Amino acid sequence: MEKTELLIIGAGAAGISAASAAWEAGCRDAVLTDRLPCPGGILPQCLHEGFGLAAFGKELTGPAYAERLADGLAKTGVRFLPGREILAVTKEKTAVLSGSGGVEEIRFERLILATGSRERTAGSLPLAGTRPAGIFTAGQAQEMINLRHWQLGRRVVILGSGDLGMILARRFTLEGKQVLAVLEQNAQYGGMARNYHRCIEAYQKLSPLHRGVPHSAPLSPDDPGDSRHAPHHGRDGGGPGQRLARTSPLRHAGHGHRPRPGAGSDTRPRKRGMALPCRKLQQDP
Amino acid sequence: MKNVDVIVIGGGLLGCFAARNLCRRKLHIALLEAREDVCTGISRANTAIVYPGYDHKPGTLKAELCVRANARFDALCRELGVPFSRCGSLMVSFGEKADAVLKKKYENGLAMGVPGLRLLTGEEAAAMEPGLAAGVSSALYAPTAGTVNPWELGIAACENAAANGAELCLNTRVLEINRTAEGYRVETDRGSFSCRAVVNCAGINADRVQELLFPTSVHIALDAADYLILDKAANRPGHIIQYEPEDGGKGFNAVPTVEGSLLLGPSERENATDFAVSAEGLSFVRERAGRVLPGLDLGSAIRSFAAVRPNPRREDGSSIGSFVIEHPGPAFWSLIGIKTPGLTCADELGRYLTDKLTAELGAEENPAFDPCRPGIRRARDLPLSKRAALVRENADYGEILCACEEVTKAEVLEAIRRGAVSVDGVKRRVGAGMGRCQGSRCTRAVMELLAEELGTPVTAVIKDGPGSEILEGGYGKN
Repeated sequence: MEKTELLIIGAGAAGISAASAAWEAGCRDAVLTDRLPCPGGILPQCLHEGFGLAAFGKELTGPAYAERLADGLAKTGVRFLPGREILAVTKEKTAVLSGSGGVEEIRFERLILATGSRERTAGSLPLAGTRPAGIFTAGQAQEMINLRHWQLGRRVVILGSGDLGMILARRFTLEGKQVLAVLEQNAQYGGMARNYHRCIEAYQKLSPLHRGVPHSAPLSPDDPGDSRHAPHHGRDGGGPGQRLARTSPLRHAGHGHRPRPGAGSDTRPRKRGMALPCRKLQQDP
Repeated sequence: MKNVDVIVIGGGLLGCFAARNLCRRKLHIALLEAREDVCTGISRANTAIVYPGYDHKPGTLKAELCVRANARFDALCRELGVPFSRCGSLMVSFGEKADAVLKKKYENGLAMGVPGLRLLTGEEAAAMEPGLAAGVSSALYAPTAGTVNPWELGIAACENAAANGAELCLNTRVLEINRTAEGYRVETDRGSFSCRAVVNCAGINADRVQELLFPTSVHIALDAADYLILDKAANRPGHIIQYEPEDGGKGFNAVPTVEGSLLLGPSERENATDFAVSAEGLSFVRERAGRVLPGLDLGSAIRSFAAVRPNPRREDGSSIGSFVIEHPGPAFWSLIGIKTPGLTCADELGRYLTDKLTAELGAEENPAFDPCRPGIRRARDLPLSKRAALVRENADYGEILCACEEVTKAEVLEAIRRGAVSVDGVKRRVGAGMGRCQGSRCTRAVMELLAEELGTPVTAVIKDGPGSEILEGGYGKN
């Protein structure tokens, strides 16, 4: 059975950063695993800008941010085991991993779980109606459009104005689709002001935001019912009432950086093959 | 023109089990299904309970079949390679009127020979299920109640029928039925079939199918019901919880499914037209759940769906409680409006029809009949060493596509090999997409495998049924 001092599950932004930080702190025996063949997690499908300000002092797209993180990781001696899904962690400090290469156990002294999130789906909303084809979660849509170049539909309605909802509205618009509406239950949009300015305001005529549109019956009074993707790039917490305050553009865009509608690569028509190229890391096959 | 002995119309649970049981005789069977897959209608939305049989009037066919079916269910599911959980049920009441109803059901069950029935006090029930609301006045405990995945069972029966020689004709809609000297001629949009006997299991269209040739005294009205599914959680009840309201209104079930989720429902509505969920129905289900199991986290809902049930009515509009089985002509049998406990009784109804037709057709026993259908091998069910060996043998068993339900690429490929032609067809066979993220991760991969295996572009991949192409450029979107 393989042994390691530190096992990190998930090679997204958090997992890579944890691995690099551990190496810098002197850990010379660390293993990083991911279900995908390349590091970066969900970042390669996030073509929009806004990543990396804290780490690199620069606003990067998801793929560019992932590439920088992976470059940093490649300079360490952290072993990367791609293509493995975690099945179980036992009390004996053993993780069970499964991949097409086999089922294996790794004994660890310390474990960091950086496995990201699962999306809340339409199924969790008390939506009336039939269950037709053509309903996607934001992350699923992003993956299909940005990594597979699939066409999801000519006319699109987006439920929820969280960051991803607004970013997808722009994505669809730039793909030449008609965004009929972005529907928001609350009186205020759900995501960051920066994304509102860049993705909704700048395209107002193309993707109108309709606020205060309730779903057929909220799940519970304190549940915004937003099909928002869980944050994966360091959005801080706070209740709905704090949204504007905590999403001050200055705080996120840094040094007087005015939110520019349409900044970053997501505002240009997509080029094929923008997915992160697989980095040559110290890899066990 | 195709010549067979028996045409079974409708590939739902009942049709699949009719075909399976008819294979016990030396008969050439064809199962006609209008859709691209079996179990896509009534069978795909159900309370999933295998009833113990205390609900029905002694002496009726329903009561007799239900008790017998329940006793045989372990063996049936073993034969068909389908998971079955005999978790038992607790029907709870919160007052004298409902106590009396439970007592009556208890006595009825005793008369029917339902094994192990016990009337419990509220305290005894609370000790068995700590999640129950305070104030339970009595409970009827039925240890033989259980739960099964309805479509998994139906699909398994269909596979078993096909393995025993039944011919499955999908995308085949019945247009006309005529009498002939030998029996019947069934005209479909894919050619005609000549046969000696017809078994009509056309579900919500069963009355119309019979009327293609014979009159019928009953007509089907559609009732709808809404359900909610909660994610896997530690605090789900161990038993099926059933609620008998004090005001005599509609009851409620909480079913700990074989998948590990908790099924809540149903609400009931008359005059349905389709499988659309109603907001009021969902509110009702949530209200009932809160009343009976107040500790449930209803925010952990992962899915809601609507069921449609055929409600047989007489000419005067009155509802019929019992199974309606019509025999309007020689060797022509119709199952019209088989409601609860249709899932429980599906195999027994198939046996019943087989006996009737055996007498009419003089069919012999088929000694080659094999009742066993190998289930789909699940990597997640294996101990680690066996699982590792399996992956060495076939690397696709190592690749997890659906993380929520731990479904591997090999299992999805096996589902497609066994007849899945849609994303939901894969889901109904191996559960990919049934878990917490409802397919937001695996749908893309499942679509790619379907396209590759079926030799179609990914734009042609459907979710469930004609016109349900998922991507733009598919047939249904233009």
